Amino acid sequence: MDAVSLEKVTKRYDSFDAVSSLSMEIKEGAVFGLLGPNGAGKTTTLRMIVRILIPDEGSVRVLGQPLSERTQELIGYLPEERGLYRHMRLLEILRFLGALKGLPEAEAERRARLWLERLGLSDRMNDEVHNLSRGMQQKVQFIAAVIHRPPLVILDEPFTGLDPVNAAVIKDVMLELRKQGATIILSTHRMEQVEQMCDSICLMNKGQKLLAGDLKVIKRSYGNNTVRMEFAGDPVFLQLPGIIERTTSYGEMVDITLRPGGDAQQILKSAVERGVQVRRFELIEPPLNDIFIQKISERHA
Amino acid sequence: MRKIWLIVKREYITRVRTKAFILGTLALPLISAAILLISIFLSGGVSGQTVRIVILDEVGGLGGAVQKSLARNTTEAHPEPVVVHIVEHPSAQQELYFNTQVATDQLDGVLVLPKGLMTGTASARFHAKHMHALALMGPIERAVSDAIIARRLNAEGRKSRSMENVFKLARVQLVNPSSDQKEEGPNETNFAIAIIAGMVLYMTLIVYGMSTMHSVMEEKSTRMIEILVSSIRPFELLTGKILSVGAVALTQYLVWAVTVGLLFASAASVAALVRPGATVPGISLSPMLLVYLVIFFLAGYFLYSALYAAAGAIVSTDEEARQAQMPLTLMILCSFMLFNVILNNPNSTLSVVLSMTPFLSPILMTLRVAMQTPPLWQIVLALAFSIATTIYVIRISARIYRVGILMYGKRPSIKELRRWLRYS
Repeated sequence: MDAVSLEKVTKRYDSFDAVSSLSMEIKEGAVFGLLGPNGAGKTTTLRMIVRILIPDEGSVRVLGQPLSERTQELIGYLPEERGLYRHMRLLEILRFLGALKGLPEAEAERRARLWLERLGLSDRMNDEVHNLSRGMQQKVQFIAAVIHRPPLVILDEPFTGLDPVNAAVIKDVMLELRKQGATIILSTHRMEQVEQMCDSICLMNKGQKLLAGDLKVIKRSYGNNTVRMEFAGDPVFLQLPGIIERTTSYGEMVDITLRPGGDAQQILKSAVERGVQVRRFELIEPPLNDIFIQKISERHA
Repeated sequence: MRKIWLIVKREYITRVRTKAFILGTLALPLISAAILLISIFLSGGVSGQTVRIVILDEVGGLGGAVQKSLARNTTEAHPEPVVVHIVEHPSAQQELYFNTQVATDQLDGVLVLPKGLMTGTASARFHAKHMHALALMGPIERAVSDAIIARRLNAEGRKSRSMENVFKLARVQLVNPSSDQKEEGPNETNFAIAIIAGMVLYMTLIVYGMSTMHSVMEEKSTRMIEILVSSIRPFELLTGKILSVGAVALTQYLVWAVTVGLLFASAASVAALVRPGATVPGISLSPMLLVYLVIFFLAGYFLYSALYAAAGAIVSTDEEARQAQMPLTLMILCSFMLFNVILNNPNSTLSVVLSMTPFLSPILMTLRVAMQTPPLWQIVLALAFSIATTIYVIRISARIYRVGILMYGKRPSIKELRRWLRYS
């Protein structure tokens, strides 16, 4: 059974289609990455899954059921646009949100205490929300998304605004949820997170699906056409138009995309000839970032 | 249903513990207490004041006894009664003449001792219109009783009549000569109560309407709404919100009714304590009026708060909010401006029509009820119109609300709003 299946879903606004005829399936137990540039229709898609928006056409099913109040309780949702009532205490707000998701209030409060403890907020549980830092508020929102142990967790940009320590804590929780069998949908711009965590992805642009499937399969289909290099010296040796399609520099490190049939050895040779010190030279699968940029620019061309 | 209840509970609790609510709730009783105290102090230097009275003695030979006993019965705390004239067996013209004098302030009071007084078949009448004269009601009642009991003992007491008849006390009826006695017209107290009731409605409708609007805006600006509508239908959320703000308002009404009620009930003893002998403004709130006040508040509140909620949903900033709430506040203000029409003549055709017009009826009908209860069918009709309008308004508001809460950009134009109504 699929955790989520969308069939030819369209959401229309006055002047444009936010999502047009989108179909996709998300397997149960997977960590699924929903990717795309700003305005691609990711948030609209997620909002339709949690039943905030109703599609104009097509159908959405969650865990095999058509959307209803019942399916809403099966989902935990951390929206991208987030915030909490400013004048409520942490414990109160979590009890309220847990109860809205169908938990008895006492049980919601019990779990809220455990979660606050785990995320290092137990000494703040009687503080009002507006006295907390943004990062702390975000952790509370994360708790609100998982407090009712939903089989489907939807996280829209869960790591923005979190420091590395807290991001790692949240990541741990996500992996643990997955181990317990939950399906996680992750929407993000940060490709390295997707590469670390996701099993499968869907790349969207302008309301449509560009690419979808198992992450490993996708990357393999692009072949080992990328060289990752670290070196000291003048990068002039990289001007090999017959071999190199383009380069992406990360400071010390550079990713080099080869032209079809381009020989990586030629780059190494050029470097040696110019006396550049090579510290790393590795043939790799293309980073998701490259696939992303390539796919999007193909469409624009 | 359970989710609506959760919303109601959360909103109610967070709202009731705000400073604004606590201060607002205490304000009215405090102001009333202040007004009461001021009016006690202003009620006149009672001692030293004289009240000129004419006694019209239809029984004959009783006036003098009443006069003497009146002098004995009044203490320093009372204004001093001066009986300027006693007329035995007065003619109808004489009675009319003295009553006119009371109405025109040339005389403070006329005490009529009718024929049936001795047998207890009629009660004495005291015509007076000023507070300090009314303060003599107690002493007059005692004086008249003393006089007739003394007369009964002298003349008939030794016959075999039951003592019960001898000691039967006199009753004195208060008559206000300035108003038509047959047809009870609006008097000053009704006026005051009507205006206070109208003002209370006017203020609470605006305050709680705006409160609903800000509550919607808060959820929008904090983005709390995203989490909420992923768990609950927007219509349920709107319903819960309106119900809870309404419950908060009713809580405030309840506190006001109890405190102000107690205040006026204890007014006499307070007056005796602060300034012995001072007269107390005789304001009595009829419970029926309170019931109507609550009914019409609810009618107006549901109508306007649904509109305020929709206004809150279409705006994102405080400035836009000020613009959006303007037409609604003006509509409520409109009722306030029409107070005069009703106060002048609550039963004129214009008053009747206005008090049944939706959007105006909650305040204007309450005003009419407070002054002089209109026929029941008019009240029922006004309520029916109002409820029908409210149902229609809530349907439109809910549609605007549902789309608006997720729109964070610029305020939509009227054209866009119309399109929102068609979104599913």
